[in-house]
Amino acid sequence: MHIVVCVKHVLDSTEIRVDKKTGDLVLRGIPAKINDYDKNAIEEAVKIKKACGGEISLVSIGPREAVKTLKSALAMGADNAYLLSLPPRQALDTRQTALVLGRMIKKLGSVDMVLCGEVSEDGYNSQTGARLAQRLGLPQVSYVTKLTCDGTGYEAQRTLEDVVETVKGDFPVVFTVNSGINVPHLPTAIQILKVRMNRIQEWKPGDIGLEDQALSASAVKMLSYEIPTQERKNIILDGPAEEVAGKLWECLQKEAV
Amino acid sequence: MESCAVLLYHSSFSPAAGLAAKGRALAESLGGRLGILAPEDIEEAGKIPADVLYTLSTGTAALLPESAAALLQQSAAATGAKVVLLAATRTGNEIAARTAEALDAGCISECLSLCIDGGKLQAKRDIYGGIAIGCFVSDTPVTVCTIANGALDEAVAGQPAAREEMVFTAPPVAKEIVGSVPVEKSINLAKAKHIVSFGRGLAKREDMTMVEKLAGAFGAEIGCSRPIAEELKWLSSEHQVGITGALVKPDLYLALGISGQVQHFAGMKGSKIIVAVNSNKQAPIFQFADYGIVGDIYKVVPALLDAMQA
Repeated sequence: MHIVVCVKHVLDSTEIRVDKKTGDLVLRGIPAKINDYDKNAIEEAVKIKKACGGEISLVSIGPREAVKTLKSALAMGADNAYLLSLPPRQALDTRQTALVLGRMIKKLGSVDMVLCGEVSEDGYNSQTGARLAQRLGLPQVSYVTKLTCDGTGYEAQRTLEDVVETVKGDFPVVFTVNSGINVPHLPTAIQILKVRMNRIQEWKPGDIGLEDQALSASAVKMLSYEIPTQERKNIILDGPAEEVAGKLWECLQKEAV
Repeated sequence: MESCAVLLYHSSFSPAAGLAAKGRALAESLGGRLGILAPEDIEEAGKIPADVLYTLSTGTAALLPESAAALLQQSAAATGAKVVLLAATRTGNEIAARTAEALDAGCISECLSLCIDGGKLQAKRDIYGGIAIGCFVSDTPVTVCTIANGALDEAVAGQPAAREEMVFTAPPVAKEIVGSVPVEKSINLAKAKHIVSFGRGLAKREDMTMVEKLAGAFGAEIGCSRPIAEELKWLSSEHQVGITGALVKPDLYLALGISGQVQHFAGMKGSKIIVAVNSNKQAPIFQFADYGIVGDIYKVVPALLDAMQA
């Protein structure tokens, strides 16, 4: 069984903040890492490989620095990784992302299953899995919270707002997994260090039959952004627990909530 | 099919009633009509004010997302629609992305507001989990958007739309839904007036009794951060507050031992009063709290219970 997992190298959203003087988002110098939701997809691929055998390929798009993310993903139990490397700070929109991932997966040859996290923690677009499935002409099961596979097919539970559906089908298929599907086993620093660089192949757009220009025409562009004002009182109570608890209770009574 | 500028998609999994006002405004800006496409749940769709309601000549059917996207692709082409709108439910988002890919179109999910500027669709949506709101423009002839749950409009009554039957044969999809069970919900955090929520600051599962006591005193529901539900599994996912959990807007949100990462903030930023108790003075949650207590929750919570009983 050949399993492909899509992995995104993202800015650590927990580190992004607003510069109080300029009102701008501070994005430079923010550490980047593997998208949290993709860890669940890798973990699930490793589980399936253990049960059914096979090979796990990772595909990613990003700056060369994304090799760091791929190394930690390989250390979780994947076999090979492919990075479509882009100049630093070049970002693709969701249509371009699906185009590139689709071409990368085609180049890998026969694929039984593509796994994606349900969302990326930078864009929160929730589009890549579905766009990719459409582009590859494959069915998709989204928001998967439980998955069992045999050599030829799968049974998946997908959890929606009000209902849990059970879906059955044969490979090939695209899954997007919900973060509740498993608890990822994170690799140790030593395990990551031991990953050999020759397991990561770097591709340029030309390697998947795309001209650089194909990646300049985005369908959707961000024009500007604003910082929503949070009008909060920001009253910090400091002191011994009894004292601050008493003060807080007084305040809450006045708020009448 | 008769032409329309804006096409709403309605199904029981992605109801369109809350899209009608935004759809109407866009249709007026584009100088065209507002259509609704409803392969099923036609009675509900018929209550939504629009100009034309497209139904299937083959009868009503709950379509798989793959088929729904094929239907939308075909209908957008046949009606000349410039904008296709869906509700940002899980299924709505999936259908939207698939439809956009089929149409080679831009897609903007979880929109807060939309407008037409210079003939192009512009939409605002949260970026980086809600720290900022981005304004996006789509450059493709047709654009697919989903409207965020919190930005849906109140359903309005209006003239029933003229009905038009359309021919569509759902393409075969190599999967089958073999079971469907309602999610058993013990709480509805989205509607709770008071929420006491906790995170990693709680050291042991047994200590949840302390949280329960405080919640009881406030008449509050219990919420939690992502690690509590997903990694530790101390509570079921319906208690999880955040961008991938419940989006809540209570009168009082009391956060115990929650650092306040973006993903959590996005879920509770609509709360009227936010109280945070955290031992780390640098925790981001203090930036958006009305009342912050820098302290040990194991001392502050019992003290607060005492104060309330005094």
